Amino acid sequence: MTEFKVSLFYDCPKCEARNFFDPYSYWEYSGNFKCAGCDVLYYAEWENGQRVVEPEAGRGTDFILPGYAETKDLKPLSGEGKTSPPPFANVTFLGKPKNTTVSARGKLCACTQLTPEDLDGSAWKRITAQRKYGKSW
Amino acid sequence: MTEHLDKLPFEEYCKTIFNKDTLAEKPECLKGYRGLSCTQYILGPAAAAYLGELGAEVIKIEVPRLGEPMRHCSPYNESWFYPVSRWNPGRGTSPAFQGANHNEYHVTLDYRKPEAKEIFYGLVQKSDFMVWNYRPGTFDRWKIGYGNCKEVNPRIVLAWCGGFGGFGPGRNWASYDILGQAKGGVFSFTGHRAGAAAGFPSKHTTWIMDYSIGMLVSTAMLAGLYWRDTVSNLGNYFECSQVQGSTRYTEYALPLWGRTGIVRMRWGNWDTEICVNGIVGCGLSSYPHSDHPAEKEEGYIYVGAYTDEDFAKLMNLIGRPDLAKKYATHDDRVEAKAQEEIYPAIEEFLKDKNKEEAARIFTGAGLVNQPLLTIREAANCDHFLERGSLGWYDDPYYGDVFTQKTMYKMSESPPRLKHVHRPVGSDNEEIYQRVCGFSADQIREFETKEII
Amino acid sequence: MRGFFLKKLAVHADVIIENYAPGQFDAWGIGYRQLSKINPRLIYVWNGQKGQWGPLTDKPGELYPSSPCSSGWCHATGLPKAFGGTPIRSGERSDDILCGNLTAHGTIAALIYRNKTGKGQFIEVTSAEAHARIHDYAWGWYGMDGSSKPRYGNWDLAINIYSVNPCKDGYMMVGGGHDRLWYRIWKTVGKDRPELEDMILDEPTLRVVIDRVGHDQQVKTCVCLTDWMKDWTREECRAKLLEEEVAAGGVSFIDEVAEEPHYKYRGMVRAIETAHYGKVLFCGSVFYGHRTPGRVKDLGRPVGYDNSDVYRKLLGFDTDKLNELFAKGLI
Repeated sequence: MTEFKVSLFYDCPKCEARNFFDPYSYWEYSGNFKCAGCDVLYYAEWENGQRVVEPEAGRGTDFILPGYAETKDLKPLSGEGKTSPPPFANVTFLGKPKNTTVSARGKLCACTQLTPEDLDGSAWKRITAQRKYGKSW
Repeated sequence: MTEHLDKLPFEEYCKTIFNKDTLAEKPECLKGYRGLSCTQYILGPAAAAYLGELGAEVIKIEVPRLGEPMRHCSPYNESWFYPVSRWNPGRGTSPAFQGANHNEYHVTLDYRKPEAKEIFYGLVQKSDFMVWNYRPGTFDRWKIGYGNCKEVNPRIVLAWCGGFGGFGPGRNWASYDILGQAKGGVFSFTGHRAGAAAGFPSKHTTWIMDYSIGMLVSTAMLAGLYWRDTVSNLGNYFECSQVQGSTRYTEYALPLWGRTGIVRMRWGNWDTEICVNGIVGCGLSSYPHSDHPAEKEEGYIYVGAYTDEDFAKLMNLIGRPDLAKKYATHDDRVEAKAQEEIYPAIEEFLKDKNKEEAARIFTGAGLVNQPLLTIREAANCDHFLERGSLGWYDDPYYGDVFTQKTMYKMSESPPRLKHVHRPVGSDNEEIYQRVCGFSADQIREFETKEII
Repeated sequence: MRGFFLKKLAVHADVIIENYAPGQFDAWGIGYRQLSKINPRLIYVWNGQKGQWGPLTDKPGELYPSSPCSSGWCHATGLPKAFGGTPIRSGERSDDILCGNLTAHGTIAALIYRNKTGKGQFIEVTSAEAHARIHDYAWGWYGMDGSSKPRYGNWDLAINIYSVNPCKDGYMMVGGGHDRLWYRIWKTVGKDRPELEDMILDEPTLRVVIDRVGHDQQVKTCVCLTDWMKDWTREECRAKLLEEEVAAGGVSFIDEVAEEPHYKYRGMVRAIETAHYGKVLFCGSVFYGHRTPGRVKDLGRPVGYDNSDVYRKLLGFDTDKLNELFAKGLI
């Protein structure tokens, strides 16, 4: 069976953090990256996604960040200055349902988890109560 | 009335006849037509939804209790509209569902149950069109495909749409929008040029192939209905492959390759046929003190200056009259090497400006331009709000929502938004009673047996 | 003289489609409000970037990509800044696609309306609105809490895996948002690289479908997938994934599209004999209809080729008249 080399992640020998290299930034990259676990700089080279020069001591002071990193027991090490920033859509990022009863301009909207008691037919009671002429359109 | 309209300046005239506030007072193109949408994701639903926007009564049929998968894909898992159904009020529907399912009635039906077939025929008998996008052969297996529906209702116009079509060696390949973009060829020439961002191609921000092929399928159904009502009184069957549409969009690439063997490549934000006609980056953000991530990034602007005079004007404006002389004719400046010199020169000029300033400078010189708006800015852009293409809407089910509204404007029988979408199965009682004639008891029985 | 012909032709026309600068035809006396008096059954369609009215009315000479820039589309397409990207326009002209499709759609809808009522109408199809219309969840998401949809390159904000990533000889699209496909993708990867499959299966935040969309999870997923794909070509990746019935396909260049056997079988890519340009490689009609199939009959003709045919048949001009008009530079 052919030996396949690992190319897009690296276990730092100093702190054992696993750094993940996103294919966008690292597919054809030659330069330093900074380990998210211990901030040490390593130099490596990638060509067409294959890591042709394995990580060695860093050269110079420029670097880019890994896309993601985690500790040996899978705890995330991502964050500002550690991994490249994700594209945020808003000031805060939740990653799970953002329950809200008002829209961005402050009016009532049904964006919050409900229970069977909250329902009037198939809609939220508070919304149907707002409608003057009943359910049909 | 018409005399008054004749005297208005053209822009006022358009504003009056296309006025967004009088849409509901005008008649609908497709009033009286009824159709079924047995679809999921975007390709099929969009086709039916465009007809719903024109006034047809579209009935969406979904899997009982949780509905179709498009309801359950929300960006970052954050935004949801509740309830997804009265059986699951703790789960929501993602805003991804509203683009292709508005104005529709929502019912449920489990096709695999033996009783479902007769219920389905009841709906088909009363419908003018049906669109579905299940894998080829699935509906035939359940005895509700083209062959069967044609027997039940010879006047129905049917449309099946899918990734690779219903026949051919690749008919069973799965259908995804970006697969269509990839296999159709458009993906290969959209994205960064070689040498910039590793020359990565880029997919479109949203499912353009699904939506735009949905328009074609929708058009096919309209044509089928028109032909039926004016010529033949016969139903019809259209089959549409999404990837084929995608290849159709490659414009000159196919003939170019056929004639010369040249393969069209990516050219980033510039234009292969016209120069100057591209997007350039400004150096500064428009909101340097904002916390919002969409606002912190520096701006971009589109500028068009492709006639010889406009080009000379632009080059003088940015302090490079030498380029105006060097590339005085269009044939000179459309060459790749020329573009590689011209656009960076423009970006050099914009390096200390934000996009609003750039727009002011270009407009002042009479050059066509358009700053790239973020979603936030576009949502607050007076142009779209005044015209009624986007806006806040008081939805009868979900309250205050911001949504896209109409696809185009018509002066006599305009399309319009009635509701963004509804929970799964919210119209079971009404549709099965009114259209199929079942009693309330029968419907309750179906529900208990989980047929609906 | 301007508009003289159009006024005469308007009597015979069902549909007029134009995309001149806003108000141009109206100023020349051949806009909708003038022509509809001559032919009340006329359906008149205007196509443009942003509109004939409103704060951002089209300026003369305004071209693509002005419309997707104004509607937030371009800004949300492309690689994120953190990955070295910028907003990007599409290679093909997406305004042509959307406006063209919607023009056909609106025209037939108007014809159906005209059947019932005998009335024509004015239709305005605008590329910016069409882009905004199909922008899916961007607007609903904004309405909920002011979120502004960011660029995410070739990954998807709402589904993981649904992305295009590089492989040995190009780029590869792989899709599998739900468990059924998710585990099959990793099973395929695991046949060559069991350690990558293990990394994914051991990760607790990748167990539930809706948890997989977080950015960290997307990076980890795509890195594992791409580390496998880097050693295989597009055809090899696809063959392996197809064994497990996973949706996948390489990004095809146009020459590969033209040679794909499935497309040739369906007549999707075919050489069309044209009257003027010889054999042209083109894409067949998208409409496979049982009773009324669509067909591509011809691919354009030289400018003015049909002058005598149309003017003679519809307006009764004879050869002398046509020669006179041609000499004056009017046709």
